[in-house]
Amino acid sequence: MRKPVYQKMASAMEIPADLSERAVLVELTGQERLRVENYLGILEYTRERLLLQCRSCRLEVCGQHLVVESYAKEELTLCGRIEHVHYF
Amino acid sequence: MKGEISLAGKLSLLRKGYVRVRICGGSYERFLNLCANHGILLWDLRPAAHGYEADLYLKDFFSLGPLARKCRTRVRVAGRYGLPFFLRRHRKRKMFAAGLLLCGSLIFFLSCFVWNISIDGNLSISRQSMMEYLRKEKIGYGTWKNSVDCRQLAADLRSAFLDLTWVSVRLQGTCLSIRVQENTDQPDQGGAEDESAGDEDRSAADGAGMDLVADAGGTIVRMITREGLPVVGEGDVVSPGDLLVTGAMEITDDNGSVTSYRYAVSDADVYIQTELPYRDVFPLAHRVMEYTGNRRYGFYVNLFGRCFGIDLGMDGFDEADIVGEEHQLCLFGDFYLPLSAAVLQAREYVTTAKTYSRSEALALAKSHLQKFLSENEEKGVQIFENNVKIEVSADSCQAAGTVTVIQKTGRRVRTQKSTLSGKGTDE
Repeated sequence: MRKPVYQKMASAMEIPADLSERAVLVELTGQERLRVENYLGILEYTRERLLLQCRSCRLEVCGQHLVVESYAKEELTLCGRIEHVHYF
Repeated sequence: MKGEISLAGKLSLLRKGYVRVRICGGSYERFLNLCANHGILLWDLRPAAHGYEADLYLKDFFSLGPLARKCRTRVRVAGRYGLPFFLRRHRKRKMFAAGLLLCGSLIFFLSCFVWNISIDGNLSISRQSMMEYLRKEKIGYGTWKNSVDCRQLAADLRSAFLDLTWVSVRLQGTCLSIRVQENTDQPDQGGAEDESAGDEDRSAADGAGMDLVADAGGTIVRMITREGLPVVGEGDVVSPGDLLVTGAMEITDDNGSVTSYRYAVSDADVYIQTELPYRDVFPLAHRVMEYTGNRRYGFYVNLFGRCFGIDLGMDGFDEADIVGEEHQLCLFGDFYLPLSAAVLQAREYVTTAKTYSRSEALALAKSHLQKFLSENEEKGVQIFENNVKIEVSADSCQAAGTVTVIQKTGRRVRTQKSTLSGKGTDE
């Protein structure tokens, strides 16, 4: 697959993808805490499922007793028992 | 947000005030995203019945209206928290606010005085004598803190109590903390050396010498001279005040006549064998205190130095010990307030007359003697021989005799200058 020029340049300059392409950044701490950056918004949120719209994909987090600990434009922190994380 | 928030963050949160809102109806996911895009921070976001619940700052709450209308959602306040709401809720309780203000002012005012004096490190100097000295210096409970000059007080304490080698005075909150260190040298020898220390310096300065004289009589058993000229030797018998080592050393010419003297500060370890008298007499009849187990209690409060007590029948006992521990009110570890309280406990006892048997009297006399010997050994005295006899008569027990010991002797005195004056010390 042919990459656009800006991607080639970013790759040559070793700029991380979360900066150059605003790719979604997921930080998972244990099974009970998840921090997400570079998302566009919440599509769906229940106790068992959180669906986030990202720039190039959708991120689905499934689990139990999910609580959004903080929600701002830059960052979202999710707590609860996380069972799986799914991109599609 | 709440899960990882620090204490300072929580206080800031309460100071600013925050509300818990319930979001329902319409497109609430869109509402959440609009909040995020408008820089409104939401935390503790949870799904609730037909919507969500979340916390947000009070100032952000007032900008929710247009966003809610755009998404056709309804925002209801579920809870109000923080200082702005507290002040609004209590805006009509002026006396309560005045009380709080008065309480704060009172605590601030009381923090300007000394309410506790802590003395640590004193062994031979009692707390009572130090407190007496502080009282003379007009320092005590209730003294204005600014009037206490810690550096000056430390210097004064050092000059007032000569045994103190180190004094630290500092104010911690309302507590005046005095930490001292005492001279732990043996008083019988160290004292003499201390007294002579000044003379020694002066002697070195003006070119005079120091002699070493005996401060106890006995037979010299060992002698090591480091400075000066010994005038006695091992086996000699000396009396108190006899010269042991002289600081004036003769300088003779070829004919053997003295031309001048060289003066030095004598320094020697002289051990003498001497006899210490011992006498201990006590009657066989004595009274023994036995606790009955009956106890009564009392309580008192000490406020600004005045005591207010409640006696729960403590005077009912004929003979009783009264013990209690006073606890002073203290805030934040070092802010002592002029309020203390104590629970008193009166323990009844009865005294019965008893008589020591012969074996008991002998054991007691021996224990007294052993204590005397141990105390001397702690001072560095070597026990050589024990000639104490214990006799038990019909009504008393007597232990008398002498204890032969080997102890260090010698104290410095100024050397009498001879008419043939020397050129000074060899220093």
